[in-house]
Amino acid sequence: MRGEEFLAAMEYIDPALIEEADLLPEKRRGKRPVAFALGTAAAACFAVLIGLGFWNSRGTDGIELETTLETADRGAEEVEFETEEAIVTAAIPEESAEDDTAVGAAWDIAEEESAESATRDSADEFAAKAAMPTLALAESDELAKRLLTAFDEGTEVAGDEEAQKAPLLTVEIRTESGTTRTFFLYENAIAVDADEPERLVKIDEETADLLFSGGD
Amino acid sequence: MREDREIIHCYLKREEKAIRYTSEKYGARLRSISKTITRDALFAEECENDTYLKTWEAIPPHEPYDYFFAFLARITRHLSLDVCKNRLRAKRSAELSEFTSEMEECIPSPDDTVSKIEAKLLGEAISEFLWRVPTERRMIFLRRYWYLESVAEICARFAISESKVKSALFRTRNELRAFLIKEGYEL
Repeated sequence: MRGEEFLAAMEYIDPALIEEADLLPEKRRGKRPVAFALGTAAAACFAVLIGLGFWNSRGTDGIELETTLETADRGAEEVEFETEEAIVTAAIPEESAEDDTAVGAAWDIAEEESAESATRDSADEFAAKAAMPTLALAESDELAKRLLTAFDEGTEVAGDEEAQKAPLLTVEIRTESGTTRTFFLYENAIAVDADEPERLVKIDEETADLLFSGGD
Repeated sequence: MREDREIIHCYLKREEKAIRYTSEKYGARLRSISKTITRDALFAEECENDTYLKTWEAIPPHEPYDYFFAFLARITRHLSLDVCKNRLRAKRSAELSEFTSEMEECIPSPDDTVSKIEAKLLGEAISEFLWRVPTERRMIFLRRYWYLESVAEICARFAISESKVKSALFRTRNELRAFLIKEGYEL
């Protein structure tokens, strides 16, 4: 039976994976780095704009429904859009989901109005902005080495303007000692080490592009 | 609590206290793994004890200094799955069917002559894939398909909703399928 082959093959997976999965998950509501908070705020603003866009477009141009807003409960941790190609999951920043502030309100609007005004493009655009996809790499991966080198050799830039934009990608690099280094990537090839959130470094565009494409 | 290295040294020197040390440090966790799979405390205890016996037989030649817990857990899981198969416990068999049917769509075609080597290669490919998956999704996948926990148990462990667990499993299975196709497996 094919599924049994899978269970048998799972017996041979990397023991480090087994040990990792036996650890208790990290506390979900810990202290966030400054860059994350700024990103969250920016994502919230973006969501409000999207929400307002939904609101303003209601009944004006009769946009055809292409995306179904599958779940968008107040207090939910994420929303899901089921497109023809995939299920797109967008994380709702915890603060907003809990406090019923900007993003929660925006999603209430979106949920109410989605049948008339949501488009796949706007939904996917929001998902891409808010979900902050994570790229997990091992320290020995070429892409990880490339990022670390690019970060070390990059140019430090002034913070405020870039830091206020939402991070587009989170890169987690698992070191050989079992710890994880986390970087946030912004537009214009700006990278931030989560341990030094105040320091913004411009890395080379080619490395940034590779990271955004997952190394392909 | 003894260090893994010290316990393994005891096994290598054929000192029976190695089993006691192993039991003190990992007994509860091994029993928990087995109980999750067999759903039976007595079988779990039996599997735990058999794990110590197998470990005693396996060290030497093995010297699992780096991942001693994973080494033990793998034996426990294997024994527990054997219990499920051999004793034909209907309820648990049904649950095993659930796991296997979920995975059928992304696993290579059946082949009665699949060898351990092929399983090992597939296991290595799955490992390579899993290291590329975000940490939480990776852990959810492993809790489901290695530790064989139910969705409800995973929800409780990670303090997340059932829909999120199911969504994470769905996405990871699809990505695994794509990865295996890319690696040349015929699905």
